[in-house]
Amino acid sequence: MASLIFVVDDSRTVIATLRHALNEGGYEVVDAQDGLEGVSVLEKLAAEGNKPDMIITDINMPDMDGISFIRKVREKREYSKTPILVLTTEKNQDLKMEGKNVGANGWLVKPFKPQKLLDIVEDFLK
Amino acid sequence: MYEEDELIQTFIEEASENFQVIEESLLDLENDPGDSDLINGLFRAMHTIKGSASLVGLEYYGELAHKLENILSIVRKQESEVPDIVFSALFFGTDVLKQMMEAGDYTGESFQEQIEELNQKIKECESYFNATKETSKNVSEEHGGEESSAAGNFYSEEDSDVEIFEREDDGEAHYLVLLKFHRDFLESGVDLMMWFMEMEEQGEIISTYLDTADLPPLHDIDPSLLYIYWIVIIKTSQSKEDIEEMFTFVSDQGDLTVRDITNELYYWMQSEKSLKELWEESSFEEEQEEAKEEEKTTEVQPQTQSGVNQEQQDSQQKPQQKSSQSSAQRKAREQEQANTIRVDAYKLESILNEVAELLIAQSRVKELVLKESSQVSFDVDIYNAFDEVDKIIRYLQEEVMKASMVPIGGTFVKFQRMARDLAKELGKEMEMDITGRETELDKRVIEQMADPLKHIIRNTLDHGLEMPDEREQVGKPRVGTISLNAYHQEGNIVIEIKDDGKGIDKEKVLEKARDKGVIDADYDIDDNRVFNLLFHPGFSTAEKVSDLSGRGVGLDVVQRNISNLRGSVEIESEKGKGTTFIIKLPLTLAIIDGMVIRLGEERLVLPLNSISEFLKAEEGDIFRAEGKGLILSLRDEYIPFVGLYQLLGLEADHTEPTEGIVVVLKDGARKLAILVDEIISQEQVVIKNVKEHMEQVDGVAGATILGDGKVAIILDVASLFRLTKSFSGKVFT
Repeated sequence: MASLIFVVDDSRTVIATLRHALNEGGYEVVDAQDGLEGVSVLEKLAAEGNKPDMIITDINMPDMDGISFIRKVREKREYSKTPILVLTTEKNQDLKMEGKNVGANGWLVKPFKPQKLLDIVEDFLK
Repeated sequence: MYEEDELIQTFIEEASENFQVIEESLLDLENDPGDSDLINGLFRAMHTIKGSASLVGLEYYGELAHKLENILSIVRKQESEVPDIVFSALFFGTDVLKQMMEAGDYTGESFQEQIEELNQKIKECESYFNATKETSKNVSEEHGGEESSAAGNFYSEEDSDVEIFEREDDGEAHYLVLLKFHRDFLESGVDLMMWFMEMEEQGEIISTYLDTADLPPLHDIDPSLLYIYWIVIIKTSQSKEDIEEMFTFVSDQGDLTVRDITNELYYWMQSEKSLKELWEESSFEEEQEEAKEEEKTTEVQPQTQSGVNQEQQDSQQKPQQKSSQSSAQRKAREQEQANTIRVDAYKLESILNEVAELLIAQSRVKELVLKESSQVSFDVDIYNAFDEVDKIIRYLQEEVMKASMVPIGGTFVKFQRMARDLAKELGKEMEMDITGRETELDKRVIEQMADPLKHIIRNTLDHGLEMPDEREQVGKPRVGTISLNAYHQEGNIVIEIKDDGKGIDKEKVLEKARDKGVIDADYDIDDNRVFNLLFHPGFSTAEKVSDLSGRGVGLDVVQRNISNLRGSVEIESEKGKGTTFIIKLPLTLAIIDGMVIRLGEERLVLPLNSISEFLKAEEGDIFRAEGKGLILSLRDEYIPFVGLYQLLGLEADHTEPTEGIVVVLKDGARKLAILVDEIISQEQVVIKNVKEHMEQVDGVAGATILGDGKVAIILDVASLFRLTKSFSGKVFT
């Protein structure tokens, strides 16, 4: 079965693009538009007995930002090991460290090469 | 590689929403220039537009958005009030971007002038920021590096900037150790400190939790008892068995558990909850999982013993109950989540049309079957079955209708923006007060109402509101108020545009109407009708043609647009106090509940929601008022009475009030009694617009096809009231 990747970004255009790229790479994609929705989508998936294999999240989002979202995800025992990649325009080193500390596994700055994203995803899912 | 058009379509939809957020926030921000939430929201919206634009390959467009984003970014970091020039630049920039998007000109070829001006405004802002404080220095530095690449492509051809966070994976495991000894443990003489020291030797103690919940007040403490317990997390290269071995000789003296948590570190280390809470939570979860496992095994086990005792049965039922309960909870949770999908408005429209056709087909079938059965015997079952189908169609129609309704708030906000600009241009001061944003209207109605509303608001600003000085002289606040309000009334949506300006001068209107030959010189009419004259084609009271509401487009266009939607518009005004435009619109465009009536050979439909009651008039119920028309005395009310045949110029069987049926119509607070020949049936009718094919006829809202396939005219109640006015004075013969 294809790996399921959960994409959280407040821009539908970004989601559409990521979805396209990831589908091309043979992955299935679910999405949410901010952290709060992200948390409820995860709960919904859990209720169906499902769980994403990897999470890609933006940082700057309304309602719940990426940092808080990652923290919330990591608080769930079953998500302790799920790879989380941050995808953002933010390059601020402090923010990056905060991301690392709350449990992000990688930090990819937009703009990026689509192939690079697929490489990272593949690497994480090994 | 991508479905480009689709992607750009997504971009346009998203950007439109973000532009609305931007405009709304800017307007709010003007009132409260220090609100950092608003600034953050603005920044995020602009940021998204920028990012998405470059993502779909509209680089130039993205760069423009990026410049505006930069200004917002500086504002955000300065944490001070937003200066006027920034507002001006942002408003202007948003306009330019919107216009470019509307024109589909993302490279700005035909917008050179505006873009030039925008760049100028942005420069002004930048130099303003550079002049204020040293904070701007940090800001611009940061921006030079951080954001420059962000305006480029989402996908970069250069090497991507990525950092993978390496975790120190030194092969060491994390264990959680629960040390909860029996209360009399101290009597065994074992030194507790020993374990802690040993754990230190085995690895590293990462975190400890000491539970003192059972510790009694000092004077009650028995020094020989152990009231407290520990939860410890250690990091070690030892195996779980090694750790457990440390406690083997006391394992019967309490609750001693070692758990491998290497894979759950975030859960244990990052939560704000205490180790104790986490422990209880996780133990509970595990018990549940075990229970589930047990459930599975009990299901599989065949019942070998015949005499299963009660206890066993109970224990089997319990987990089942538990699981059914949790699935109910799950369902509830799923329902709470608002799942949305985006649907093309056109699709909804065509579904609604199909439902309308279904309705016509259904009433045709009904008509045929019932005619047939009435010749033999009246079949109740058939009738009930038809009722059921009617109900389902009605329900279906309502659901589809609901799906195509959107709140009017967004449109109102647009006008707020427009009014603000306009007021500035006119040198007037204005505040806009919006209520009923959440009132929902058919999307198509809202779209078609945009122009009429715009026109009325322009009119209000131009003719209604006075100049600030003028207002002051008459004792009003300098700032005028325009209120937009939307609400439901009797199956209609009412939109009110109200100002506290100078009102309409009735005499002036009359004079003008006479001058223009709209009415006869000696024609005397009442107030409401005077104001309605304003809707007459070519009528304008403004003495000179202003830039704004002159231009030959008058309120007549407004009225025509609104009546095309089967709505009505009226003016209420008091000199010196202000003017209110009241627009009534039908909830839906397609289907209404109607009462079919007969008048001579014609069958006509009255909208059910405007019928108050029917009655058979007695001698003496109807009398002539002095100098006016006929009046129906109904209970304690006096209601104007007129024959429908007179209003419409049709032949009728009955012209005597006591012979036909009297229908009492209502329109808001007003009532009107009309005489018709017969009431035929109540039906849901599908409105077919007739106005495309014929001249506008007063009193007619549209036409429909009845069950027998014949056409019937749907009457427009609001205009019946108007027609009646022109009849006052004429007599029943």
